[in-house]
Amino acid sequence: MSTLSIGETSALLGLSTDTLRYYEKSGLLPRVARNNSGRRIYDNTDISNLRFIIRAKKMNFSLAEISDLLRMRQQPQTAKNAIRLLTAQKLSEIEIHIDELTHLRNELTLLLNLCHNSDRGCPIIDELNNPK
Amino acid sequence: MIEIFSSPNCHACSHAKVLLEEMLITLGEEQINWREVDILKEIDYAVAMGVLSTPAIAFNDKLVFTRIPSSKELHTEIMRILKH
Repeated sequence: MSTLSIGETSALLGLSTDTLRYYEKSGLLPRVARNNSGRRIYDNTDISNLRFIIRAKKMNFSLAEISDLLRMRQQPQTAKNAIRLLTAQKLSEIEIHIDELTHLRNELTLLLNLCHNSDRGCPIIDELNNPK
Repeated sequence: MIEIFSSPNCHACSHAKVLLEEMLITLGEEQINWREVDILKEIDYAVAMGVLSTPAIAFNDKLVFTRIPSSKELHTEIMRILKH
């Protein structure tokens, strides 16, 4: 199993070293192992958990919610009902978000294609100037 | 119901529309219901139908052509909806 220092983890994930320490201190991330010099060494599980936190934050989940979801992630069979409910609720939110993003992606694709094909002007500008 | 999705300044859209009108006249099926959809005026509907470029043609709420069809292709699709 490969391990990374806090600096390497910071560079890999784009999180500051202060943020990495805060996630551990606040209990969001389980205690990270230390080497003989007392320096943090992040293993694959830590990196996986941190990637999960980054993804969940992008979905605007609170740190408290992310903490619950991480518990579900670590022990899905024994998760409490409240955490199962939260997970189902967040799954539903993600699915709605995906639908909205898909619609937006297709709309932007359409507008971009029109721009390429238009002899005069750009329909993207027309659409932006036409509030719904 | 046939819908042609078009956009402003789209010469291919005008071409597709003329092709459809002429085909319906040739078939003696001018009574077939069709309409032109300006995607800038009905962009949500166009996106929901899966339109990603113009011209596009839908038959009975199903997107069938995403380019100008050949006369043969258009004929085949019109005959298909006439059978149903």
